[in-house]
Amino acid sequence: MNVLENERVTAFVQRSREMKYVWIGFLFFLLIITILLSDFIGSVRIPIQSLLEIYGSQIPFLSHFVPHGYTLAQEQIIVQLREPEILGGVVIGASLGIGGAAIQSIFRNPISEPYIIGLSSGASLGAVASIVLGFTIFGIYTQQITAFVFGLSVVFIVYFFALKGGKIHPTYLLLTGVAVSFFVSAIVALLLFTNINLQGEVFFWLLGSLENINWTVLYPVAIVVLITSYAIYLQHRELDAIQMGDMHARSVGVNVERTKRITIFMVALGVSASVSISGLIGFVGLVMPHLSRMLLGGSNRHVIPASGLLGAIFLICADDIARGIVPGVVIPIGIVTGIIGVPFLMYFMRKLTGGRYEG
Amino acid sequence: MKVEIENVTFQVPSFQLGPLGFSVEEGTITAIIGKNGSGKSTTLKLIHGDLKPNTGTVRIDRTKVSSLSSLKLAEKTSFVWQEIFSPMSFSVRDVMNVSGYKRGTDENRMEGALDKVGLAPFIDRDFSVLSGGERRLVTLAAAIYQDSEIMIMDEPTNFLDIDNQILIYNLMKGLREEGKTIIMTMHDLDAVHNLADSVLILRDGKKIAWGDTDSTLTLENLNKAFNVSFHTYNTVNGSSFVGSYNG
Ligand SMILES: Nc1ncnc2c1ncn2[C@@H]1O[C@H](COP(=O)(O)OP(=O)(O)OP(=O)(O)O)[C@@H](O)[C@H]1O
Ligand SMILES: [Mg+2]
Repeated sequence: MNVLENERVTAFVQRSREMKYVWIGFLFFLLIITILLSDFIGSVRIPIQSLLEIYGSQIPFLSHFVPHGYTLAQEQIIVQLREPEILGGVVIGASLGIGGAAIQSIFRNPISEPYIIGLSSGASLGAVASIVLGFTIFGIYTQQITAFVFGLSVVFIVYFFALKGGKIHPTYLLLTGVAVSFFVSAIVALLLFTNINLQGEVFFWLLGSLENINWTVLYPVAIVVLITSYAIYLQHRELDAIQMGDMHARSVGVNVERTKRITIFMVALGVSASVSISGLIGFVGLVMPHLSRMLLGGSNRHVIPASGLLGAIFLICADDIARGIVPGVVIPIGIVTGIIGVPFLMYFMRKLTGGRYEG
Repeated sequence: MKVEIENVTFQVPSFQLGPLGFSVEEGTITAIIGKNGSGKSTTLKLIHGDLKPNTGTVRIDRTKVSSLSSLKLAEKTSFVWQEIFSPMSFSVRDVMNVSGYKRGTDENRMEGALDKVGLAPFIDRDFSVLSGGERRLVTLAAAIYQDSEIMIMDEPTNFLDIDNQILIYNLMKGLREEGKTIIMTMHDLDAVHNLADSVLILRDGKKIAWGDTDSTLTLENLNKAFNVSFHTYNTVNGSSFVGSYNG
């Protein structure tokens, strides 16, 4: 890229950052459009007329006035299969994006993400153990519940190991998170190693998928994510301050340890709930906050909502590709985010910053 | 607001500080001087309660600093740090907003504070790509914006050109006139001589001298604090310190 083009790009970024609320409004609009369009994608084609009628029938009061020119099968596909999957993408993408923004602020580290505090390894252990050992204590949702409980538990273990003199030092928490994750992942590997025949089932979970999401699991997770996301958003000024150093944050009046405690707990709760129904979906928590910062600047007042919106949009699109690229076959979403998402975003990030992104 | 340091000691395996005892009067400028690693920043952090002393107490406005909540502390003191973090993609406004955590955003005061350091037009610039000196000026403006009674400044004029150094000296005098109490470290002895009401001289964590500037900033004390030998010479503005090697 030549110098002139570089300057043009910088001017674009500058202008873009001045239109923060326009951006958030636009992303929200884009999310709605993506949700509606994604309902078309799948092995069965459903005409737009029927789709609109099915939507109408789901809206209280309005349902009495819309014609019912669709088949029961069509209704089933939309309401029972596609809608929970797409809305699951919204909930999970948003929780990963928001969690990423919060965790990167706490660590002051642009390459951290929610999984780094032990979440992913813990949830994997829960899911894999429940499959391998055949747990059924919580009925048909045992796998989701154990993944959630283990994800949360490992974060607690990491947190308490990292606590020194009542304080959490970011570097120390990061190292503890990485170390404990290694340990827990080794146990997961051991379980897989000794149960070769179960690897297929586990494999799908480890790569993530929105396919198995139904309304029964989506409702509780959506409520948890809604509450935790709002709680994280309420900390946006504290998280901004912490990005300038723990001591600086304290000197301007922030209760640093309390903020860290609340944020880590809320991220752990929201993201554990999400991955418990989707498996491990990487990349969203790491990249969406950066994309948001480039578009809107670094203040968490805007980065948190934008990361949530971008995470949701990105995950639905990745899921559309996972469902639509090979007819009749659903590929794990982790493969899509990796193979298609990464090169696209690398290109986008270079383009936006002229290759000069300063963290 | 008075700051009282009583019998404070602080130990880490590689370094011992103190015992230190002195008290800083309201509306004065206090300078801490000494070699690199003599314990100046450590002393400031002890005063601000970022480090816990092994013995002794620090009182701000007659309250133990260890018992102040961060919010109360921020109301009484602001801190300009020796090192400056570069938070991810923050604009100058974002950095200023952080310092407005306690009082809430006030655009007019924010612009006023930036204007004092000549950086009002920089408000929407990206903080991380500013020059070292510009970033230093923004952090000083942020401390002014925080508007606390006591201002702690760790080498407030590092990175600054001579014009901006003098701008900051005058700014500090103005703040003192408004009744602010400033406790700072500074390596420029002439500036300390010119600005400070009291001086604390440290060497290897030990107090060499403490007291009002004229009786403390003496050739004898400076020769104890540094390896070079000092003498003075007269300039149009008064006398000036120069040090030279003993070699
Ligand atoms: N947390 C710590 N652990 C170990 N040693 C420390 C710690 N903090 C400070 N020290 C040591 O204490 C000594 C004093 O450090 P301090 O930062 O107070 O020096 P200073 O006078 O501010 O120096 P400078 O002029 O370079 O800023 C140094 O030798 C430093 O290595
Ligand atoms: Mg220092």
